[in-house]
Amino acid sequence: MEQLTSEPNYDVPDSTDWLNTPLSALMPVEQAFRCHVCKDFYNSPMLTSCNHTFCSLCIRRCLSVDGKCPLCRKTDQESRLRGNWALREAVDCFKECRASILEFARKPAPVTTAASPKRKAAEVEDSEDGAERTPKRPRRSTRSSRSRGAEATPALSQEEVYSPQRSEVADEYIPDDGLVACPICWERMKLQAVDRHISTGSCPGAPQPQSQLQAPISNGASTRSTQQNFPSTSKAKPQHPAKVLEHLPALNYSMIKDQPLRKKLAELHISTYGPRQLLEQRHKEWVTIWNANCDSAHPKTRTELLRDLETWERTMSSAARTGTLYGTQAALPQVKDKNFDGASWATSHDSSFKDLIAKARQTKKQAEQKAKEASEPELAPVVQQPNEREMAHRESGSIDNGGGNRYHNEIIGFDGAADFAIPVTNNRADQAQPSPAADSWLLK
Amino acid sequence: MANNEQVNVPSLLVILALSGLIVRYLFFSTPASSRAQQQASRESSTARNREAAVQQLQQMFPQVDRRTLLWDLQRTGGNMAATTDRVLAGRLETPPQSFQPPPPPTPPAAQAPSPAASAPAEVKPAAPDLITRYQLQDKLAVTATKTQETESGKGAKGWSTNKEERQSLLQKRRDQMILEARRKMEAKIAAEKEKAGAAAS
Amino acid sequence: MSSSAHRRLLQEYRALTNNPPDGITAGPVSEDDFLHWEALIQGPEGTPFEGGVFPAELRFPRDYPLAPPTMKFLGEVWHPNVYPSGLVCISILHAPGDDPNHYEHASERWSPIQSVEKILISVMSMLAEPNDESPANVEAAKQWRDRRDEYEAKVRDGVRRSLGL
Repeated sequence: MEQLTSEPNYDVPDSTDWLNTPLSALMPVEQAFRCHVCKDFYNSPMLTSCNHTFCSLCIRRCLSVDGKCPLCRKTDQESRLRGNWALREAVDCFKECRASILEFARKPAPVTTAASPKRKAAEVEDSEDGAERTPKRPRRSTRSSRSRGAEATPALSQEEVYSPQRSEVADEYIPDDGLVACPICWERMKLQAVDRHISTGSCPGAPQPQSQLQAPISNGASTRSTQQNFPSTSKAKPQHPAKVLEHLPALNYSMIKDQPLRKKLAELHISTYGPRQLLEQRHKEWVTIWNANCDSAHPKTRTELLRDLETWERTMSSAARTGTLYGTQAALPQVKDKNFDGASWATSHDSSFKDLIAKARQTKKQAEQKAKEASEPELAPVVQQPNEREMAHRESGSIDNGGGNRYHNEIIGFDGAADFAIPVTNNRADQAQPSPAADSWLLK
Repeated sequence: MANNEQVNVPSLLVILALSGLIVRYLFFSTPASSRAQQQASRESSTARNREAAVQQLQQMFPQVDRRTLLWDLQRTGGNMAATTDRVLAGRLETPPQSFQPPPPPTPPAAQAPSPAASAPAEVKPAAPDLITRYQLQDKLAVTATKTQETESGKGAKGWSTNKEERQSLLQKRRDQMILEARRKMEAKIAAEKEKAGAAAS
Repeated sequence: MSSSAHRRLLQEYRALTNNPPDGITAGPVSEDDFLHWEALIQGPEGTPFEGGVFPAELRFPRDYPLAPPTMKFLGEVWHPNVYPSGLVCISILHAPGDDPNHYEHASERWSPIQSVEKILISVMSMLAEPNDESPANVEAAKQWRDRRDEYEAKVRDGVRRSLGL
């Protein structure tokens, strides 16, 4: 998480990071926050009927394979999973403060020179911090004597420094005005008004009966004990305006014929390409990631899920070719969607776009030269398969204007950085020899 | 007539004897080596048929794994219909762990059904020892002096955010492990020799 | 975005690097292919394998950890549970699926909660205590059962040869 920019794939924090620091006792603590299956922090932890906890996605995958709890091998069903929201909160909080604690623990302890650490360390700190710290001294020194001596104390004091900041943040969100927040839309109002607010539908997220899934959590958050949930929840809110996600039912694939299955996939807006076996696997995976997403506190958008599905398919299929082809087809309807996340798409493929633009500029120049030499214009490599519009442009000679970006938009007739990727994708599917730039980002 | 009969009886006998020999040759007294060959070729052909059958079955039942199908086919003698019935009825048995089917793409000859028969020396002609395998010859001489150093450097090990660095660290740990083992073994052998020498004198 | 198998193997690699168990070194052969690992296992002490170092390759399926990897010794290992090809036959490497009549307990089988570390530790203890109920190398199993001295001598000899001595 810390070094997302350089190598996102290679940074995996692990509980062993605490070893060789004075806080090595935190290793088992962190281990307790990690899923037994993926070894990562719990992501939407779910409780099985045998009282074991796993990530929602992990346990759903395991159950779809052999229907047994990976820890005790008791049979269980997906429908009997229950969310472990308290753990989710604990994990989220731990994740948030982990980096700073670790950073602190890795710093060389400033007071290690003291020969008999317990007393001297306390004294040194007293003189440094002055009167403000003094009342806390007895408690702290007993704690440090229980832990490994002086090295541990700075970390503890650091923790204490954090807590006032936290409560400040929380205070921002709970003004002391005698009002309460609506458990659904967080609008502040008088306590008596909440019921009417929800039942009359003036709350944007209220009327759906499915909101049961989220309402209890929100209720919990409005009590004092879970104030820290406030900032994140209210931050996430505008992105997903009270959209309640419904779990998808599993299908019995042996009971369903080819055509209905294809129809089902089409209904879910996922690709219907490929043989029957692939269709079943794809549907199963989609149901799994979709249902796991439903358990998440911050659900991903459909587009992100589709990308996950695409990644899954690429890694699972031995023939990488078909994976790419499928990916192209699946992405297409999404790009046209109204809620398509154009900005993220644009940033993630920025370099490829720049490549394409540079290529387009080059080929434009070449085309100009050739147009001078001969009356018959050559096709640019990026747009080898001309569509009708493009032909019209070329015939009227309007190709000779503007820079690369404008050039693209002109030809293709779309606006916006996100949308202009579509025709390239289209070409990619038909082209016999794809341009390297287009290939490189498709394979990403 | 009599002449005719006399001619016929010995020729009949000869024919009988010949056909007897042929039958014997074909069905009973095959020499050991050629019989083994025959068996091997028969085995490889059945293995090929099995492979085809498994592929077909897997298309029908992708949920059943290859190993289970192969095991069942072996038990039913390659009868696809019987196996299909058993899959449908859910009566498939889990193969015992000793059952190791041949890997999917390689020809069946690669998997000998009685692995114990071949000596291990034949199976592993490559990689005679670890030192040559990991190209540590030149490091052998240096180790004796450097051991203390490397041991003290051991504390610095850990996760690196750099891919190349990680790779080289792993390599270093690997080499160190082998060299250390070799050093210990050398010492042990030397000690044994000394003991033997002392006992002899 | 990487697949879950990739991410989990990276996690395990990091844990094995930060906190390697005694006598075990493991990691991907090349980070370009995280599904192919190489491991070194030290022969457990107090056994004829003592002092030896045994290289092995691990190959992971794409849906790891749902399915177990396969493990193959790259050198010569004379052991009842190791095929002459080097393939290791041990219950933890066998896919889930209950077989009540079989001696193996389900708990010994592969489960997504297992890890490379646990596999390698199990293999280490397998070297120390062969399981001759389902031998992979019948000859070695027979020798181990009937002529233990010969078996141990052969193993010791193999260990020395593998170290180039």
